[in-house]
Amino acid sequence: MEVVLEAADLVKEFGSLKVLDGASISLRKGEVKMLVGPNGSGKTTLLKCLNLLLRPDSGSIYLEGVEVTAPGVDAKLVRQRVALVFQESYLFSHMTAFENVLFGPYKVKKLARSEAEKLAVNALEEVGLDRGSWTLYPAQLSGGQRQRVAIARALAMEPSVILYDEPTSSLDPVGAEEVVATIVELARNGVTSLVVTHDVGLLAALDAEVYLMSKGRVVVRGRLEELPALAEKAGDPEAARFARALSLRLEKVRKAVVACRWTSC
Amino acid sequence: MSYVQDLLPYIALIFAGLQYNLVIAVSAFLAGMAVAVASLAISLSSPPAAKLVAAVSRAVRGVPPLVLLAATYWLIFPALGLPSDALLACITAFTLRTWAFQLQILRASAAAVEKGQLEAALSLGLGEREAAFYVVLPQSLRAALPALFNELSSLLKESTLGLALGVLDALARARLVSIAAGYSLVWILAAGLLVYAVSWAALRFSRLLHRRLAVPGSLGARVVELWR
Repeated sequence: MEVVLEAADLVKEFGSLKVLDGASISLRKGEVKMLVGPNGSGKTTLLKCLNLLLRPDSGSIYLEGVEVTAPGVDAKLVRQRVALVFQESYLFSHMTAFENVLFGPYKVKKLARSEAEKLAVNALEEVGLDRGSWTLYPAQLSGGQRQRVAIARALAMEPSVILYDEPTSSLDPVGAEEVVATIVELARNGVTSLVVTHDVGLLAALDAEVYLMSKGRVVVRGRLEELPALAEKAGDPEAARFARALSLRLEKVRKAVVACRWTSC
Repeated sequence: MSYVQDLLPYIALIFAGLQYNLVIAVSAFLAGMAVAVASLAISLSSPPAAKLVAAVSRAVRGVPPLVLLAATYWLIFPALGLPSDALLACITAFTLRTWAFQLQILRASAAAVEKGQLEAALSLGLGEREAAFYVVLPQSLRAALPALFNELSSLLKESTLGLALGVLDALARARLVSIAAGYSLVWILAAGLLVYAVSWAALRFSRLLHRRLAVPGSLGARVVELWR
């Protein structure tokens, strides 16, 4: 399968603080990968660099085989192809749900109104927002609905890849459940995705390969339960401790699910 | 009866003077807003320009309006070789004054827009200027609406200072009438009442506009409801 997004040895410094220190990832078409790591390990910065919202100091990013970190590449065009969904939905609060989703294809891609509307309708249907809510403003939507509109806003741009930055962590369990279902559904439909999350519900539901980040680098990758041993072997005990805590929680969730099936609770 | 009829021309005279107050307030308000938006945009892209804008605005805000009027009429206009027109000088001075205040209002309301929304717009591939236009401007203008109308209402009141330069506005005419007919307090109160009526109408309109433009479900909309 063709590689959609590849980043090699990304470095990003803020003043004297080296937030990314040679981070590399690779995503194939239709693939879903997870990205985990302790707070401050550079996950959000990595996503922002992949979207070129931040420019990496060094290293290279390839989007569908083209180096987008090369000089002369229009960052705005790259951002149109690499969608970013934030922890908070950050919907435009003076626009309805529909206008928020329409905004990308209509105002950014400057498509004809009818064409843009078609994309917006498809995107909102894909995230399963009921039609009655399309004309509501962000302040009138629930957290889960808001985040699904944010995902629809990303989808309407028809991106090559969607990057999610802890999409469920600001939501209550009901909202998180809605968003997990949406992301899983999109992943099933072949939307290439990179998901930063600590939400074991989302980790369990997607059950994809996981990148483990620590101190600005991607230390190891593999199934979540293999990560502690791998990180230990890679000589990063801090990352290993983090991975162990996360996989323990994941195990508990899986056991709870099994227990629920047995007792039909 | 005939006594009231004798007074009518005086009242009409004062009422006609309101046009000067309206012309000064409205044109200075609109020109000041245009320049404020422009200088805010320039400040955002150039830090030295931002410093200059901030310094000039601070100075203008610190000077009494009467001094600003005098300086415009007797200093700036002659220095620039402009005709000695009291009304024009008045509009210019008040434009400068309201620019300085509107700049502060717009700056504060733009800062109140969630930074994440701007980032979200940029991450979609929108240019910075477009993002400011489509995302920040509509929200900050909505938030600034009450403060901007307060500013318009202050301008309307301050415009009566035009009499110092010889503009025949409502208050200046009230003074002339009181010299001609006596009872000076009555005429000055009448002028005050007229200006108050216009200012009241403007604030009513602002409330209507604010209610119409409030984003449903937002905090702003709930505050508007409290005012009803």
